[in-house]
Amino acid sequence: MTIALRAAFRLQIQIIKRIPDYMTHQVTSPLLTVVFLLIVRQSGRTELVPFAVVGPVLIGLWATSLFIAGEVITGDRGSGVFEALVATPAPLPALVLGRVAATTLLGLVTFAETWFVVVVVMREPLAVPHPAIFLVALAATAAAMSGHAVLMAATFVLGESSRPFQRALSWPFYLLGGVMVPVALLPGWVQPLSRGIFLSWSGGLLRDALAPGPVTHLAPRLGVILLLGGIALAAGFLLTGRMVARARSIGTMTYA
Amino acid sequence: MRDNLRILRHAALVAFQDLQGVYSWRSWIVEWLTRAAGQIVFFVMIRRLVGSTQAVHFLLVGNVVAIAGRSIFLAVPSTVWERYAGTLPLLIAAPASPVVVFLGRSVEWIVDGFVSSVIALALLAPVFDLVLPWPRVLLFLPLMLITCLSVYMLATFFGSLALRLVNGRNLIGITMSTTLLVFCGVNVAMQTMPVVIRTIAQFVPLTHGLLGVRVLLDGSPLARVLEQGAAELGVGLLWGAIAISSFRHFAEGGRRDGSIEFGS
Repeated sequence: MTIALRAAFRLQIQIIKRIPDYMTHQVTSPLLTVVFLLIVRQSGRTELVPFAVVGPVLIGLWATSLFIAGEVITGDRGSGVFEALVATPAPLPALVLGRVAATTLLGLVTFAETWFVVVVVMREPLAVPHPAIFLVALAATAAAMSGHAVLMAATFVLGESSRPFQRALSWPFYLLGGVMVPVALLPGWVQPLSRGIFLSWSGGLLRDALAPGPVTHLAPRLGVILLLGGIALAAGFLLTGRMVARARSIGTMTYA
Repeated sequence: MRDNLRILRHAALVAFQDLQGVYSWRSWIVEWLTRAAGQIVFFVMIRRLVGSTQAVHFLLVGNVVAIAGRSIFLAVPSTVWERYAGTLPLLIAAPASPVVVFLGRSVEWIVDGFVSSVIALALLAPVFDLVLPWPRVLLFLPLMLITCLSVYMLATFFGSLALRLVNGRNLIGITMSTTLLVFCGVNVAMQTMPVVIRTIAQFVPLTHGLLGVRVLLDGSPLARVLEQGAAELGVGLLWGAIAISSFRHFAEGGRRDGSIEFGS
């Protein structure tokens, strides 16, 4: 299991290095940071700078998973290696998780980029009153992201193409997930839906860690992020297992 | 001339066949339009977080126009599809200019971008209480068409670059459409931007078109609208010339060193 996980991780890193398209969201995140920061600056409400930091980080993390990790299985099916992969003794969920983890790591690069743009390029002072909480929240977010990416990979393969899922789960999802605008400012009827998206919890906690006031209910909020990520991971594993079992039984492992 | 028009028509037919492969009517409405509206509302909601109703309208108009750019920059990957289809060497070898084919084979995104912006304005203006002055709002249509054509010229230029970096086609297209959000006064008023950015923006498609739409909707004299529309057209022609030159350079370079089918 561990060997498969590590091998898959290394493989995905190699793939990412070779395909410039996979760096798309690492290139666009700094641009989005500039846009968000200019909007905040123009409004004169510099206390909202943490929003302009957390937004691009979460978008970068999510988009990287959506467009790379989400295509792990569909890509392998398309290139004809999926059959061979399933035939190996290595457990498929471990292979998917290893590749997804490498993608999440790439998504976290946007955090360093955003920080650089805000502090060095835009010369905006950015204090971190709760550094430990910020790092723990970021780690929990990355873990939950990996869980969701496994679910994406397992779900996208059910459709003819990943594109419909990717379109639906991008900007409308950033809005619903409160990555820039807190859920409390969204219409009331949307809020219960937003609460079911881990990004809304992550965004709130990361922003609170960058604000001077005390961070309340830390443990339960972290718990919700990890719980939602865990549920997604379990669902992803379950779906992957069922998909493989069904494909084996009816002989549709690759596209007919 | 007649031959070029015939080639352009056939390239456009290929473009619309491609579009049918990407979307059905249902999926265009459910997937693309929802995604486009999601992006526009996302930015408008930021102003709800920080500012006034007037600022909401500024962002709404800016992002309604800019969403066309997001569609039109799909011309970058669709230019590269020619390479995947294996038709690129044939196009280069044919007696007709491949430039005409490349200028026509992604026009579906002009229509996609234009229709997306028009529908977005019609649907979202009432939601965010933006009053559309009648009948002058009808001028939004030709102004938007000029803007889409102008952005398309920039996109085809980057398509010519993407032919040299096939695995970076989406990176180039998405980066450029995001760059428009920074440079063209979409989310922040141009006068608050640094002088360098303001100067560069004068030569970037979308800037003048968007400014034209803003002055159109705020009731300014129509002469100012026409002025911005003409400037947008001029910038588009400039990028069209650059795109043609870049495609020619690619074709001639490929013929010379045999690299047409062996780029990265």
